[in-house]
Amino acid sequence: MKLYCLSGHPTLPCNVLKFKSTTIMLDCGLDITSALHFLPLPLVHSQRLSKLPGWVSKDGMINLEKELKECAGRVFVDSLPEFCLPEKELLDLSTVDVILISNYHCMMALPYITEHTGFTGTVYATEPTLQIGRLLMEEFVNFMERVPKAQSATCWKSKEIQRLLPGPLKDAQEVWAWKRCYSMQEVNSALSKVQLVGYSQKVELFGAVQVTPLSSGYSLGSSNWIIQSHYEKVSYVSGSSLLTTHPQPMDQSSLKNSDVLILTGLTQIPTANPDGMLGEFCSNLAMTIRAGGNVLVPCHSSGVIYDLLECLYQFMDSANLGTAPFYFISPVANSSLEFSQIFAEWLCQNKQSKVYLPEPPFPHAELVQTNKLKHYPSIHGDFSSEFRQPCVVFTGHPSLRFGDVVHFMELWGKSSLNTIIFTEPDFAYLDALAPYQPLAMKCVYCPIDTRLNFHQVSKLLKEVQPLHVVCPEQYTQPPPSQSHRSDLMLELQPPPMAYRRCSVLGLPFRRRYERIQILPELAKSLVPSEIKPGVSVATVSAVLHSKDNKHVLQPVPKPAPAPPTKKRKRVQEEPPERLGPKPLLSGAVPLEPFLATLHKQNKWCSMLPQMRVRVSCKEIYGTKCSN
Amino acid sequence: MDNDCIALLPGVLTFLADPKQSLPDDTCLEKLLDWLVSIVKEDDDRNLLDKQPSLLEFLSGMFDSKTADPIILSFALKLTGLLAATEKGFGRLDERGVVRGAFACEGGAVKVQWDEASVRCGWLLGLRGMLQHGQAMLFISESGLTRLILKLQCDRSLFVAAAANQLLAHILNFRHQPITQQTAKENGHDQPITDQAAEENGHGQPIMEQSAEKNGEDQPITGQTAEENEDDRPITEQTGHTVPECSAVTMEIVGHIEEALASHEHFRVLQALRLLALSLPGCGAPLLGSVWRAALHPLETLLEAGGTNNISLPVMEVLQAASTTELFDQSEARVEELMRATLRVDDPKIAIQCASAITRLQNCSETLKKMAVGIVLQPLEFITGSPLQSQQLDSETGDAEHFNHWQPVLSEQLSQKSMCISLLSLSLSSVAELSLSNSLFVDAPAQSVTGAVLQLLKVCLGQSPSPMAYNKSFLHLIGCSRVQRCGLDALISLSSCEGSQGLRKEVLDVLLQYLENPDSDPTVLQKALQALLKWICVQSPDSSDQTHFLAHNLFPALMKRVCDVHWEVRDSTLEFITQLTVNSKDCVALSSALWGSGIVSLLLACLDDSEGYVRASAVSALGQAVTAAHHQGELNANSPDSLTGDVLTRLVAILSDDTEGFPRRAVIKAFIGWQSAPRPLACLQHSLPGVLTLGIDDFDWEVKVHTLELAETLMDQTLSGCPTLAEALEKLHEHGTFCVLFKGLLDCDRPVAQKACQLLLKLREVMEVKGHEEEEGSTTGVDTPTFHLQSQQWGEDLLRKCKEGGVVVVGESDSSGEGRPEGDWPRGEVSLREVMSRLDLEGMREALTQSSDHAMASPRSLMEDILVAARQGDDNAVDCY
Repeated sequence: MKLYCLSGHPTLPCNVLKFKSTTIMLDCGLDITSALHFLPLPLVHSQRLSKLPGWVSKDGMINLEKELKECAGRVFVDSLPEFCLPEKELLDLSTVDVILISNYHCMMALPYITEHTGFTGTVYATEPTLQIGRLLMEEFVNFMERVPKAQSATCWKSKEIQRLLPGPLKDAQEVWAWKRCYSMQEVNSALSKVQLVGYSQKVELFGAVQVTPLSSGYSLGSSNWIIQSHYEKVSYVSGSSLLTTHPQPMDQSSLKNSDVLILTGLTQIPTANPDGMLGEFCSNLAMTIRAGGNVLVPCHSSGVIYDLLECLYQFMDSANLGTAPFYFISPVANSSLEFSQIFAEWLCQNKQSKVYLPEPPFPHAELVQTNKLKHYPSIHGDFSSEFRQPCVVFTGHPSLRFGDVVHFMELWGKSSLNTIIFTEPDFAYLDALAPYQPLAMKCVYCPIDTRLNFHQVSKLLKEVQPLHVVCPEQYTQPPPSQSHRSDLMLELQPPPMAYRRCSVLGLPFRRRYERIQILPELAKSLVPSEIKPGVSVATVSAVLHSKDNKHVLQPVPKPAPAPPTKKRKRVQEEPPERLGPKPLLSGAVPLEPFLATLHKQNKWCSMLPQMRVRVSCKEIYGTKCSN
Repeated sequence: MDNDCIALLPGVLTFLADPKQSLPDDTCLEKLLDWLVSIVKEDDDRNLLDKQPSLLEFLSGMFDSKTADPIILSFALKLTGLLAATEKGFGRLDERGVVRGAFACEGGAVKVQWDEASVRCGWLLGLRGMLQHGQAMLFISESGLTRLILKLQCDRSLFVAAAANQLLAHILNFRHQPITQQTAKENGHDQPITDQAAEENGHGQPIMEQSAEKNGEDQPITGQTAEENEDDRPITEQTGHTVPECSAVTMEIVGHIEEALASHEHFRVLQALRLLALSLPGCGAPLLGSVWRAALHPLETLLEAGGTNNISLPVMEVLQAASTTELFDQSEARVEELMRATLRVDDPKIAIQCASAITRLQNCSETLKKMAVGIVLQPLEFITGSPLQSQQLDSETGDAEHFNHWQPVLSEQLSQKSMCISLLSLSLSSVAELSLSNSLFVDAPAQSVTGAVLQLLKVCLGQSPSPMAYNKSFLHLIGCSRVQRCGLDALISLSSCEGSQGLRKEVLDVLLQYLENPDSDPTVLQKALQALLKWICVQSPDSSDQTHFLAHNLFPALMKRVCDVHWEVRDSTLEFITQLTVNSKDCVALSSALWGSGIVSLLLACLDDSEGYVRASAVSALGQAVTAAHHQGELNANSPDSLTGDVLTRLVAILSDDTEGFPRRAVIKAFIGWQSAPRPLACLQHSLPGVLTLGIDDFDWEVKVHTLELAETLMDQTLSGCPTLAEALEKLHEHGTFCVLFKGLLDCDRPVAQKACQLLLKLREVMEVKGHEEEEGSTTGVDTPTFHLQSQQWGEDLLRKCKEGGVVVVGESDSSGEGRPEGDWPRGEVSLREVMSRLDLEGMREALTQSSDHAMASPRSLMEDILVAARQGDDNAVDCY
């Protein structure tokens, strides 16, 4: 059993598990942090950004004026942003049989894999994951396509040049593998390969393994996966949450007794408690609005935004926000708000019960109804005529490099009355703000990450007790800025196996058993002899029939009857002579040494009531299991 | 004595004696006993039993009955004790065999029902009540009850065991109580007779301490006179009985204590220790020595036995009790040595608890106290890694080796979360207490301790005190609210310690971090704000770094907290702003920073908060801000006048429209504050009549009382500020003050009427005095404002109530002697003087002092309830039949 690690990002994983002749890709995350090296894509022409000086090395030897621009003391690439894909060279991705998706944030690289690697398999995901994932991809493509930029920058990627560039561009990794955003056609094609599954639904893969999604409590339709055969169980824990937010609660008990637990997607900000951050978000928002300023919330169009709106809905009265409107601007804003209301079965019990009243599960419906929350596909069109200040704007993209947020940064950045509140934990906020400096608006960092923290995961692991844990290397040491916090890492016995991008791990357990069925007629013919009380042995002569990873012992076919003769006829009338078993191909099994060997290795061959023989494949057949 | 109640008593006792009847509720017997205690107290001639023969009948009947209800029997036992608390009563009861029936345990109801814990408890409390004179002691001695009482000390019911301990302590303390004239008059009041009292006392407070507290000094509890007891003769001598008979009882108890302390039964040892702790403070000289001699060796043995750490704390309680007696000064009593031994136990947790107790002692030696302080500081020292005491101390006390031996155990204990938190909390609470007496920081300087507390508070925020210092226990402390609260409490106390001020800047930085930390619990934030206030006030708020801190660090953080999601935080922050403004009243810099920070506009916004408490706090904060600014002339200089006008308008709007009482109360208080300032706001005068009217017409009685307080302020200022009484009265009349007072007087809420009555009496007195002074120089009397009663609501109410003969009583005819019939008020204009003179304000004051439930809570009502229950029981019986 092997694990190929194609992504080094702990919360945007992409791993491939080879298990019992199947090749399973676990998630397909796209690392968008590379976009921070690029200049923002303004929706409206920006005088400031268009007049940035090009970069020339100090000695004047390297002139990349067209590709690189200097802005606020840093150098940015002036082209459409590019993204860091999962590693494609570690193994042949056309051999991947299935892709299991945990949540809509972890599928953003799907078109790169399904459309450009020869992938012919199936993608499994829950319905909300598919639908909201589609929205996020649609938004992503839209953000890129509506600001076309023909220019592409490649010269700076040359190793010789890159090492001469100023940081942080100099330290960017794998730049040659960075790719531009996919097209909508590719998205549609990729998503057509998705097969929907429900929580706890068992999906058989080639008869060899069974995969089951479990609720992970992180987002609408988010799942962890169980991958198991008759005698082995691998759990894949991706973004999970134990907090009471909108999704169904996490199913923990089904993770018990795993041989291996692959743990990814823990909180990115372990020191920030989501409740405290929500409080910070609300109080900063209220403080700005009361002082007559505007609030900009760069966020994804689905996920935490539902919780933020719910929190504001409850806080609005006491916060005395007056008539300040909330705007949600995204090409998929409407769909996102509507979709969240229709996936009732994927919501927490509290919200599910509202549906029967009937009431919309999320209170943002009321905000929309009362015109408190208004949503627009873009800053163009209706929004520009209805826009009132002071207001709160929720818009993407949280990297501040593309999307409508770029316009608001240009518009509001110069006033100290305004505030930008970062709630998404995926981007370092100072890096995100870098091309907008100097900035007068207040910046507040309130990352709200509801995923498991180290304390919760330690409790979870104590509860479910996996034999081995595999996790990204970042989880095995405290964060560099807080090296004294040994509580911000996984301390387990045995220690977890750590992986990084391009690691190939041989998972530390050997498959020892395989289930083989004996057909009843063969079983009937067996003559067990008791060698000690409760233990019987019998020699079996049979044909092993393997198909679809199912193994059956069938009786040896009888030889075709000889043509009848007179002489033989007489013989046939006599009772049939009981023949002993034919000598085995491998020679006679010396019973005593055989039993002694079994005894020594504590492997017993016993006759089970269901006529199943549970033996070590290797001992009996002298052949290795499939992996 | 309430004759009506006395008349009902026989019926009630007959009902209680009837085993077929059931009580209306569980508490009525307690209430009845309380009433009987007051009756006995008032029974000066001590012949209650003669006046109420039903009592004797009831008691003798109860103790002879075979089917008595255990609860009633317990009541009867306590009642017997109460009635036999005087020698006369004892004699009367003894004649009828009631005393023997109740307490001798020879047969009858008590013996039959002995298995009931309530009966045993009643028996002990009854004995305890009776044991106020020599005859009672003799009875106990002659009846051989001591053994039984000692046996009950380990009863399976903890209430019984506690009551037995109290009785034993009472016996030991009995002969040494000084005697005065008061005698049994006090008895009924002071003795704990009820189960509840037993329960309360069982929780640790020595009975003698309680009675001493109540009486103010060691009060007499026996029936003898001071003359009889002038010398220190044992009581048995005084009553004609021999000393050995009485001392036999005490010696038996002392012997029992000695034996029990050496016992292997844990509960027995524990009870003996509790008895010692209860009895020692009340023991007189000869017996005290005997008791201590008997206890000393076993106590030493107990402390020497290493494995019995769980006994150390009860031993420490005994030593604390001993420290209040003369034993503490006697070297042969070795109290301090024993205390020292408690600090040497193997378990640091126990030692720290004992040390914490020692640090609270008033009169122990400096060495012992230093040692205790050192131990108390150990957890703090261990966690922060900073030595707090000089090494010299360990060598002085010779305990260095012992402390070294401790370290691994302490480390182990601190590695467990619950233990770590509890030990640190104990350590920090002790620091808070110790910092009140600076002298204790001789060996642990306040600055080091403050530094250590700061380090700990940083650890609680997830920071490492230093890159090198890392301790596994840190993980238990990150975000731990309990330790944070204790640490902040310690910091509050340390602010007043000399030497700690050097760390002021660091303290303010850490406190600011707490204020800014999004994960701070609201209770922690509240403490952090209290600590901030203390530490800000340590230095003159005018200093430049202080002003910089306030303007650039504190106010931005406060502004965010004023908008917090949790209303508790918003409320605490507003309270803090109020207090900060009050404390920096004379600081121009602060006032300027406040007005310039934009916080005032946030305060105005908080007047619309959804939470009433927050609106109330915002009102108070604005009130103080306006007062402070006005005080410094700030309002005229830097801020627009319209702001004050705006604040006034908003506050009046709250008073008239707010649906909750708290903000409305706060508004009136703000007006009181403004009005009572040395230079009242000029613009206030226009608003006052409206505020007074709105306030007195409010639904909330507290708003009305505060309105009367505002009227009082106005009245005081006007009466003292105006040259003539007539002018002052006219001015008050213009403000509507008299309407407010009369409306208040007629209010249905008692505190409002009481306050108004008090103010009218005060006004009448001033009018009389001032009027008399002014009349001396003039030929005409002082003019007072006039009212047309029929055209005012309060006037109509007054007239109506007069007709109804309600609370308002029309006084005698006026001084002119025209003799109008009572209640016959003149039509048309009536002068203030006449209204005042016709009201029986004294009578009203008298009537208003009685609580509104005085009729419902009366003993008469109680007994009627019992009798009604009896009748209902009969009716039900008939129905069933």
